[in-house]
Amino acid sequence: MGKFWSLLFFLVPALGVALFVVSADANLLDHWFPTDVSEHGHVIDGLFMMILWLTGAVFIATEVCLAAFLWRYDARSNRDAIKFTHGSHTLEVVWTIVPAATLLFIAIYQMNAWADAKIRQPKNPGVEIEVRARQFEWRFRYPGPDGKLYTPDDIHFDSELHVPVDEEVLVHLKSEDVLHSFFLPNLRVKQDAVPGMVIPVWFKPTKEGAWDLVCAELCGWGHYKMRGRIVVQSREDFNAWLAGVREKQLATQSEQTAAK
Amino acid sequence: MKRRKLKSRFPRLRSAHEPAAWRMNHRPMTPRTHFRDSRWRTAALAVAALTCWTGCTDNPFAAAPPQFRSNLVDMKMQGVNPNPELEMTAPETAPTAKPADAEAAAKLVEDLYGLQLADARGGALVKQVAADKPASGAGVLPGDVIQKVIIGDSKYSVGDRDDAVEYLLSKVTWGEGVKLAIFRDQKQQIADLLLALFGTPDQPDPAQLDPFRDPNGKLFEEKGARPRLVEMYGFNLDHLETSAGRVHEKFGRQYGLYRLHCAHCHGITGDGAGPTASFLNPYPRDYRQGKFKFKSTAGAEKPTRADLMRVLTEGIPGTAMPSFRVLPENEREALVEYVEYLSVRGETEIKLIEFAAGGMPLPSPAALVANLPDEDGNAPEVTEENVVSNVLLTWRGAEQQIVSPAKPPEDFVKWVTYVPSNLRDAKAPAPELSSDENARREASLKRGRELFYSDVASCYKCHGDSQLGDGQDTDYDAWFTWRKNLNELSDAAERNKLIDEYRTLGALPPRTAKPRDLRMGVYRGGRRPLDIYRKITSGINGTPMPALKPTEPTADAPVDPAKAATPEDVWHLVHYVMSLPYEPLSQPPKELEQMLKEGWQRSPQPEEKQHHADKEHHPRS
Repeated sequence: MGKFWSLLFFLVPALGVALFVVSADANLLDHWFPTDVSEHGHVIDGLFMMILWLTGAVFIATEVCLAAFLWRYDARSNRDAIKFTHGSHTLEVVWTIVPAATLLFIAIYQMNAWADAKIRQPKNPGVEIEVRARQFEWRFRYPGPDGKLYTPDDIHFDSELHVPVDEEVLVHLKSEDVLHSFFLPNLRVKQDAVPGMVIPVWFKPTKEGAWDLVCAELCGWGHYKMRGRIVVQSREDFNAWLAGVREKQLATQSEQTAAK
Repeated sequence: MKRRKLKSRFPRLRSAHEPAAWRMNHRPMTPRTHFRDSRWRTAALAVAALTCWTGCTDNPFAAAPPQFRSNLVDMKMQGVNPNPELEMTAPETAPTAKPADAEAAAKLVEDLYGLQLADARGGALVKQVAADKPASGAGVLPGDVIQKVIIGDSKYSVGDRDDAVEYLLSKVTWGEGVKLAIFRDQKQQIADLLLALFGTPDQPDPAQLDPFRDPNGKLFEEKGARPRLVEMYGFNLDHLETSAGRVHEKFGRQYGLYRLHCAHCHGITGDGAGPTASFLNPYPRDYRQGKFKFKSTAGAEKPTRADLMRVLTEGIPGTAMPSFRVLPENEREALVEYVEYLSVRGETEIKLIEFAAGGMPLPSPAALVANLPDEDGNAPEVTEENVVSNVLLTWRGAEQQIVSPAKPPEDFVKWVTYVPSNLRDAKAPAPELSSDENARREASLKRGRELFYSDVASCYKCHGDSQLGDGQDTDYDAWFTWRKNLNELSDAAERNKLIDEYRTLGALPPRTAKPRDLRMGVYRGGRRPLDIYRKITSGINGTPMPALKPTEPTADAPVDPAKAATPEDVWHLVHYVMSLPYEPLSQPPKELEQMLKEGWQRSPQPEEKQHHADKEHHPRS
C-alpha cells in the first residue's frame, strides 16, 4: 500500500511535464505564447524559457527524489534499522549556496534585457505616440508634420494604435483616471499606466498585421472591455493612414458636400 | 546640535513633490484633528447613522427593496408595478359630503378623471385651483393642477400644497415630470399600446410575442394578421434582433449586443439610468426624449444614422462614452439601429403620456401607426394622432437637415495647424507662414476673439472670460427640466423635499449643465473644424448652448460686424476657439513641462541631497 503513495506522488511531475509538452506542441494543444512580432520579444521569451528549464529541472529532480524516497523507505517493506543524524553542515552550505548562486545568476543574466526594455530609451525613435488610457478605452496622439507632440497640428485617434513596421516606436504612456496597464501580448510589452506620470515605453514591431492591445490591470467594472488593436503597417501605409486621419480631422465641409 | 537632531527626526516637507498623503499623516495634532482621527468620531458617526436609519421609516426608501429603487420609474413607465406596496400612495381619506357649490370647472375635472374633489383639504384646494384656471376647451387638467399646486404661485401655503400633493398622489401616478400626471388605467393603456406597437426592448418584434400570454393581442383584431410593425417603421428586424435580448452566441454570431455593451449605462429601455449611470459625469444619454447632442443636423432635429455611428465608433472624449471602433462594423450598425428603435419607442411613450395628461383620449393603435413615412421621410397626410408616424418622420427626415457650412477662408487649415512660437522647437521646425499669411491669421484670431467677447455671440457669458468654462453655470439641460422647474419654488425646504421625491422615483441626482473649458483641447462633439462650426451655428440640442445664426452679406446689405456675424466670422470664431488650448495661458511653464516629460527619471532635488548629507554627518541620529 505504501508503494501506492510513491507512485501517486510520481504522477505530479509526470503529468506536469506532459501538460507542458502537450501545450507547447503545435500539433497537439498549441496553447503556448502568442506569435512574437517584436525585435526584443525573443529576449523576453528566452528569459522565460531559461527560467522554465531551470525551475523545471529542479522541479523534476525534487519530485523524482520524493517519489524514490517514498518507494525506497516505505515503512511496510523497509526493515533497515533507523539511523539518527545531527545533520550535515556541508550539505546545508551546499543547498544554501547553490540556490543563492542561481538567483544571483538570474539577476545578472536578465540585466541587459531589463535595461533594453526599461532604461535604454531609443534616441531617435521612428515615431513618438502619446497613449492615454482611460476608463475604458485607449486614446492616441500622433505628432503632426512638425514631428513634435502637443502642438496644434497633432493627430488624434482612438482604439487602433497604428505603427510602422521595423521602426522603434516610443510611447508616452499616461492615464487619465486610474491605474491601467498597456499590454501588447504579441510584442511582449506590458507597462502600468499611472495617473500623473508619463511613462516611456518602446518597442520595435517586425511583422505587419493587427494584434491585440488590452488593459492588463483591473481598472474598474469595464476592464474586460478595454480592448484595442495595434496595427503594424509598412512605412508607406502608415504615412498614408496618418495623412488620411489628418485630412478627416481637418474637415471643414460636410460629408455630403465633400462627396459632390 | 540639538536642533539638527530634532530636524532629522521630524523632517519638514522636503519638496513640493512630496505626496500630499505624507502631509496628511504628519500634520500636528489639534483638538479638532484629534477628534477627527479618534474612535470618538467613529462612535459619533455610528450613532448618527443609526439615528438616521431608524428615524426614516416614513421614507419610501426604507420600504423599497434595493433592487427596485433604480428601476421604479422605469417599471412605472412600463406600467409594471414592481410591488403594489411601493406605489406612492397616501391612505385614502374617508369621502365626506360634497359641498353644494360644485363649480363647473371642478365638475369637469371630476367628470373627466373621476377625482373625488370633495374629500380632504387637498381636494378643496384642487377645486380652488381648478376654478382659478380660465375655462378652456380641454378643460382643467390634472397635470396643470399639480403644476399649479406644487410649483405655481405662492399664494397657497406650504401646508395646503402638502395636502394637495398627498391627495393627488392618492389619485394619480406619476408620468414624466411633475407636469404630467396620468391615471393608472391610462398608464396601463399606454403600456398595452407600446407592447403592441414596439414589443419590449428584449423582443422588439411584437409579432413574436405569444398572443395567448400577451394581453395586447387583442389590440389587433386577428392574431395572424398582426403586421410586422417594426419593419413597417423602416427598421431592419435582423439588426434589432442581434442587439436585443440576452447575451448569447448562436452560429458564431453575437446576440444581445445592447446588453453586452450599452445597457449598464444607458438602461434596458434606453432611459439613461442603468446601474452605472449615477457614477458618471456627465450622465449617459436618455434616448427616450429623442434629443441628441452631437450630430450634424440643425437645432433640435434628429441625428442621422451616420452621426450615431460616428459617436459609437469614436466615443465622446471627456465623457464616459468609450470608442467602439474595435467592434465589427455590422455590430455597430445593429446597435445604431437599435438605439434609434429605443428612441422612437421612448418618444412615442412620452407623447402618449402627454396625450393622456393633456386630457385627450388615447388614439387607437391603428391611428397611431397610420400614415407611416416612406424611406425618404415623406408622409403627406400625417396628423397629430399618428404619434408613431410623427416620431418616425423626424428621424427619416434628418438627412435633409444636415448643416452644410459655408466655405472657410482660403488659409483656414494653415491657421488651425499653425504652431505658435512658444511651442516651436529648433530641432524640428514647423512650417512657417509668409508675412501676408501671418497678418491674415492674426486678423482672423482678432475677429474671433472680438466675437467671443461680443454680445453677438456672447460666448464669454458661459465659457467665462478666461475660456475655462467658469462663466454662468446654473442652468439645467433638457434632461433636468423637472429640476429647472423647481427653481420657481421660493421655499428651499420645499424644493429639497420634492427633489427627494423625484430621487425616490429613480431620478438621478440633478446636475447643472457645465459650460466647456475651451482650453482643454477636448471636444465632445468632435474636433473637426466642421464639428465646431456646427456647434456654434446650431447650438447644442437640449443644452443651454444657443445657436449663432450667421447672416450672409449681400452687395446691397453688408453685415455690420458689431451686430451680426457672417459665415466667415463663424470660421474666425472656430479658429479662435481651436487656438485656445495652445495659448500661453493654457501652457505649463517650460520647466514644468520638462519635469513632467522626464517623470520618474527625475534627479534628486537639492534639498534631498542636503538631507542625505545630514545623514552622513550624523549616521546615528
